[in-house]
Amino acid sequence: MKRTFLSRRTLLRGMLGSSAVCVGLPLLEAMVNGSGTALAEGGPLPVRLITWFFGNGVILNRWIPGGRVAPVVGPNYPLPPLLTPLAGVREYVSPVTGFDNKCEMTITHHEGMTLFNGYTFKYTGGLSSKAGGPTIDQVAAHYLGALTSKPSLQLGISRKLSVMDGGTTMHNLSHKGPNEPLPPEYNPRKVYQDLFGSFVPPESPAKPSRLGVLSAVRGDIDALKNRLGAADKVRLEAHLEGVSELEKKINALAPLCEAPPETTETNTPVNGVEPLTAANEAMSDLVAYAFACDITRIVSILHTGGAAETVYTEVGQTFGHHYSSHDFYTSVAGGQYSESGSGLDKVHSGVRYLMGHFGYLLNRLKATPDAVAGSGNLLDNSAILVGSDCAEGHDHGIKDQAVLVAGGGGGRLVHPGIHVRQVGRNTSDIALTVLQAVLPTITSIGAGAPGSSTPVAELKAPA
Amino acid sequence: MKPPWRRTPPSRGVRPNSSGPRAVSTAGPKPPVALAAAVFAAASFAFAGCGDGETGAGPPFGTGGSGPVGEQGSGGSGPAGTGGTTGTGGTGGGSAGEGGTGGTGGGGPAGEGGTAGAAGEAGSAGTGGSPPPPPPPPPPLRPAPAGLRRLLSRQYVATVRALMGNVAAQAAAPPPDVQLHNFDAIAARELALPATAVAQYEASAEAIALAVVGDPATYTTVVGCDAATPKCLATFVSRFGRLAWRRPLADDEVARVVAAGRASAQAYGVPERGIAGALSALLQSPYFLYLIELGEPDPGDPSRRVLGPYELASRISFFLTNEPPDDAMLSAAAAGSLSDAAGVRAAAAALLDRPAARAALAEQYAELLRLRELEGLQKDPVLFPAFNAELRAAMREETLMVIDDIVWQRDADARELVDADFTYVNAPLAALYGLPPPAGGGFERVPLPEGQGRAGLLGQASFLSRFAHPAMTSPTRRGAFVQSALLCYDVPPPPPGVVTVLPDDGTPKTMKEKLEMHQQVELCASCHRKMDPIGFALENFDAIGQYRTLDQGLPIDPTAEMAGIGAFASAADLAALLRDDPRVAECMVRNFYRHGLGALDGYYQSGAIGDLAATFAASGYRLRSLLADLSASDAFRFVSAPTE
Repeated sequence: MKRTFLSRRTLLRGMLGSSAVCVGLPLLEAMVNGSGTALAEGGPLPVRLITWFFGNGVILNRWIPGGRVAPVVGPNYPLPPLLTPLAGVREYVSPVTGFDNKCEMTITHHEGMTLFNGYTFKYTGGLSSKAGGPTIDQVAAHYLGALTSKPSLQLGISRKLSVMDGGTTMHNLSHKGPNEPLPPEYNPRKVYQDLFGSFVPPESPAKPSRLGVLSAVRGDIDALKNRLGAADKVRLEAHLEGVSELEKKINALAPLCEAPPETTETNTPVNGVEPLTAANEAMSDLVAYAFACDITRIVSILHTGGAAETVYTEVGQTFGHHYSSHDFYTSVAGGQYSESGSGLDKVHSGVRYLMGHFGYLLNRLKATPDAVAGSGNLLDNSAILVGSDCAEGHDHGIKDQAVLVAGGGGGRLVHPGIHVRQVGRNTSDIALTVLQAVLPTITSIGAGAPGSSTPVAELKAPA
Repeated sequence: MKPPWRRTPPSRGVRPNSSGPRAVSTAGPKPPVALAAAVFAAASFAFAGCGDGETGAGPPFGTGGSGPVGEQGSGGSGPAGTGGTTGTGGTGGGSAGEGGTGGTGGGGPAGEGGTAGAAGEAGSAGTGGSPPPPPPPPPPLRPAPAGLRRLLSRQYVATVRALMGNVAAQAAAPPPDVQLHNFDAIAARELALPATAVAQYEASAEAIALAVVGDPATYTTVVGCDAATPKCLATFVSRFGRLAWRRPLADDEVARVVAAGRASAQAYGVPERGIAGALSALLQSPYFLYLIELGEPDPGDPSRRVLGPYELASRISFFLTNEPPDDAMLSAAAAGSLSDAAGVRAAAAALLDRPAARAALAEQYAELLRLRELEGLQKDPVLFPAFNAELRAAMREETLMVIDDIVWQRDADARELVDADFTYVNAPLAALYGLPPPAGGGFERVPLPEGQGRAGLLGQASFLSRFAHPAMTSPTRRGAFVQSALLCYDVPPPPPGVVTVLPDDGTPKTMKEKLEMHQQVELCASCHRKMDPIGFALENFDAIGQYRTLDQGLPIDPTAEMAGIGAFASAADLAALLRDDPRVAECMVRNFYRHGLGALDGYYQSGAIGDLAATFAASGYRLRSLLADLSASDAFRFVSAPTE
């Protein structure tokens, strides 16, 4: 199917009914947005943010360019074995190694998620916790969400989250706050319908009808709010935000870009086996379309959960990846690296499989011209933070946690990618750097030991 | 309240979340390094395992700081400040109670909605203190806070069905529930709705409204007036609104909903659309989506608030049936039927006679026992070709049918859940258990197979499958679940930096042998001895619950022993011991408290829980009796100040 992407100005001129439809409210808001980040004539380019998570860590010696004993830093780094699936997009990928997650508590796996927000989680007993604060994608959505009809999008690929861990920290990659997790949607078809299939035609009676109903709901919430304690008031305000988002969506005109083919993939397990590759491809396609049509600029993808039982059946595995990740051991002593354990091969093929999935997303973005910006491709204008919940599974370590930064960041991230290795530095510095690519005015994230106000200069494009 | 593994200040000489070699703090007992080394010597690699963890930063074994924990059972408040309970302890405020069943949520007096505590097992971990003093009298009840509780997904659907019938219920599609502290209901009290959920509620309400006005029979039952007539809309909103919001609507509230209906009618130019719009507004209102439990000041006790009649009617009706109070119950409540405990108990008993109560209890057990997760469970297809969708569904049904048999068919001792000598099987399950297929096509009540040591839940395939790996058993998971769901004890997380790889010298080992390290290395053993032995006794059941005598070709030794429980060598042995363990019955009370109120029980609820447990015992452990008593208790009839 031939796809045409129109420039913003074309869209504005072309808001006459074709099959394709039109951009409405988001653009108008953008043009009057005062944050300095909005698209306007001659204004800065829209930069998209993706956070991408995979569970259970890596084998560091096969992840760090050059290995643990003799790492090779800088540009033109040798692609390590676990990252060769990214060969086709390597110029957009920067492995960032040596950094430590500074989470102030560890209960295994949960602490790894601090990479994405810079907060220590809130412990709730047993193997359960809530996120300590907003994740960087939600910080971005707070400031930039109004620019698009959908402030942010949360996606998941494998539904097999940890079967023994509880709480919300690891079961969601996006959080607005400790009591506001944003659950991922695992069904690509539903995502399609949400993004492309539910715009209300301007003349539809559904529009005034639904808005009238929501107005009554708003009135009820306002009346109730004042009778509540502080904690519940916050909850109802979140409910009200949801109502506002819905009203905005009902008012929004469908994007003036060719609608993608209808997604049929539902990511339904067959006898327990998940169609992970098909789901990943469908979701990645939808992300590209959503960016190209400027429906949202902020996406989180919980590919596989921390401590997840996902089985990589497509590469011949029968064990849960979590188990395999605990079934090997590595060490460096006296300048010598050693590794052993029957989980090595499984983790190796599992992480390569995951990176293949991530590579599909990057290739998809790279292959899509950025019609909204009018120049470059979507990967040029994306800032992507990739991480896992630990460095290696066998000890749940969060020192030298596995992190990648990808995308050109709209010219704000170093390109081509480099290997940055800074031993002992705070992983939140990486997250802040990625966030600043989409939100240059932000100066810090998180709090306490894992908080950061010091971006990684090497990851930024030279001024 | 101090969480576990909180980084210890540098002055204590403990390194934060180190994965490398650890400084051993002088603040606590040294880990048994020599033992660790002996165990690891068999490994094909050298590593820093369990025995190398840091000391002085252990799990708090009770989260109440200096507050009393271990108030359950025989625990009382254990000898305080004995320097930590194990080699891993040391920061818990020294409050572990010997033999206690674990401090509960809320922790100490200062705790708020706290976390599961964790008193030590009797004699498990070097308490070495003097015998515990007699337990202090329980504190006065502090009821769960006033506030909003979102209807659970199943309550939403059941409500739509109760109010509007099956056609409407089929259109109902609320957002899925989330869990906190293992309960949907606790997340429903604490978490905010994400925008995606608000959108799902809207889509669901619109679909229900269209289903109602689009189906003549449903329309007649639910609306009952001609939408084109002048008063129909307002009359409907006022009458139906009272059922949906579980209280009469104020005039301005009616007006707001009517206005929404008028906007819809006008937009579409169809009078019925006015009904649909109003219905959609009613179903998206916070007054429908949340249980609103604010109460009024209790004239007799300024520390608490008393729920109003409508609030209380909703609370017990949803608790017992997942449905809202009906017209008659609302009227009776308004007339004062729920103004004292006896009245509430009578109302609860009446609710328990409804079929909806039976369904609600099944759904609650499906949640508690994690039966809902069977559907998505994956097993190695080569090892377990029988594990298909039909078998998974049968596993769920089996457990629920046993519960139904105990509670509804016989009103028998609820502890039979733990040690029942019968079960229900269909053909696939019978094959799994080595039983002849039942004569009829469906399920049949059968005695358990002989010689396998099965009994109750612990011998059922649902539990045995859910708490295992895809390709092998997990004694640890099975034990952790028994602790958490049957004994209400949350095992603390592993220490930081501990290496979780089990030694492997290349020779075949049984699962029990592989887990030896968990028992021998103190840092591991302090927690694993509360889990693994339970699972060792279940090793005769593989990862989908089939009986076996060999593991890796080696004979299985199911003998195990656990402090506070005893010695056992099968599911049946363990079940017999657990049945008579007072913690099991008390944990049933606590689990229904947590579900019914969406709140953890803790120190300030321990007296109320204890009283209910005593009444439960006196009733012969009749679950229906417990549910009625819990409904009528002060814990249900009152609320505290809202959470600020």
